[in-house]
Amino acid sequence: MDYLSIASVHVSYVHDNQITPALKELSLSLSIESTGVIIGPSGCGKSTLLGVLAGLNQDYQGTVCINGKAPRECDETALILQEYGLLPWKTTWDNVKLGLELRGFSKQETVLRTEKILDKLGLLHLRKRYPVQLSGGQRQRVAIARSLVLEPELLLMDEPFSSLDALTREEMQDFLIELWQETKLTILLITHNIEEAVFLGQKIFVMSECPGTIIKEYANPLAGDYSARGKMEFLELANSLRSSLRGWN
Amino acid sequence: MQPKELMQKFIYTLVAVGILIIFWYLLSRLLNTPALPTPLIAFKSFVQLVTNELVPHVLISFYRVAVSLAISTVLGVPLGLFLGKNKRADEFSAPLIYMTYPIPKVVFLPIFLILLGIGNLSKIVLITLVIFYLILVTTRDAARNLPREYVLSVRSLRASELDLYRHVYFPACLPAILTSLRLGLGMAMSVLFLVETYATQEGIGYFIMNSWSSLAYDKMFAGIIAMGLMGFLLYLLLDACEKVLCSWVHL
Repeated sequence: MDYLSIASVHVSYVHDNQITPALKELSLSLSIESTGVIIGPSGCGKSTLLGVLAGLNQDYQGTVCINGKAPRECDETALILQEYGLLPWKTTWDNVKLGLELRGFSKQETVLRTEKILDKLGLLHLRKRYPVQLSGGQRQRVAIARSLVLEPELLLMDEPFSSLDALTREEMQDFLIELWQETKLTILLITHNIEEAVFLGQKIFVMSECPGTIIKEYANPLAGDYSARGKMEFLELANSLRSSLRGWN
Repeated sequence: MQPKELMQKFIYTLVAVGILIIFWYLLSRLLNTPALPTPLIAFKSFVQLVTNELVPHVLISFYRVAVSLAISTVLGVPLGLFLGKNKRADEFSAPLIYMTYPIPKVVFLPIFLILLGIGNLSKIVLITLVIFYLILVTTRDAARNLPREYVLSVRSLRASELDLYRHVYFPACLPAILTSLRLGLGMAMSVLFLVETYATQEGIGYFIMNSWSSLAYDKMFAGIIAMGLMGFLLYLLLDACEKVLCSWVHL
């Protein structure tokens, strides 16, 4: 059975007494311990979808099942946003332990787990710094640490690397793959970047313009292969993705 | 703070005081009227009075301002955060706030004197009312403009509403709250002066007006110096609070 299954989901927004559909007939599925990438034009409702999956928006029609549970009841989901996810008034340490604190872990356990995850992600020496004192890549690492400290099963990422420079971005992509190989998380990631989609997604979902729905789905055996970045198949898949995105632009 | 930094700040303050005194001196010489004595006369009188006559007046005024600031913070901040967070409550209350905000609260002084007596209570209530609005509106606007991403990311960690106030709204709005307190302090001092000139024989405002009506201009300026120093000390206190509580803003 699929770990994540979404069937004909509709989401609408009410704005100025007008109903604007954001997602329409959206269906996708992802098996456990795999990675999926959603790619699509701006404003196609990708973030709306993650909001539903993270349990932040319960105002939807259709079925959303994470490991057999509704999103709101699923405590094993973590959400990482592009920017602003970290609280600027908290240090790295306080940001990372926030989730544990909110879920009522004991002080001892909180310290232990926070220290362990910071050490694992190579952030321990930055624990007293505030987010503005960190580089973009470091900040995104801290955001990942904050999610991983809760030991989630499903990691949702909303354009996590889009504000990073090209090299840092590739480093972070490698880092994410390493992390995935080690923890065997199920990852669903949104991106604007075609190469990123091909490098990270075992399944790639192409979304249409608003109201968003999945118009094409690719199975991608190249995902996570470091040497694949320059290969012919990699470029071919990227081109194919590009044209299916163009077809709807 | 580093000793060097502290020293520099001290020197700047001295220079500022020096400039102020030079201007004062020149002006008093230029006008040549007993109503504006030279700084020397005023400071002499201040030094004479500061150890006896001025102390009880300054203390009672300090008490009135400090209590008013404290009460309006305790009332204004939670309400402002609540309104900034809850759109519907905000929309409902906004007309009420905007209709009552521009009314100069000092017009209610006679009513407060009748209802609450001529003691400290009527004065504290009036000063509180003035600063309360300022803190409420500033806090509300700061909470309103909070980037949604902060709320979303913390909510996705399964934060309760109370957690959101504690970890997101309050710390995010704290710099704005302290700014509104600083502005409120200036307003509190001017309202203080006004309320202390009616139906009371205590407070620095009374002392200044009383000296004026007895044509003791040197005493009057000693009172003004005391009032200035009191405000300055309160500002220093607020600055220190900001340094400690909002260290992340100054990075």
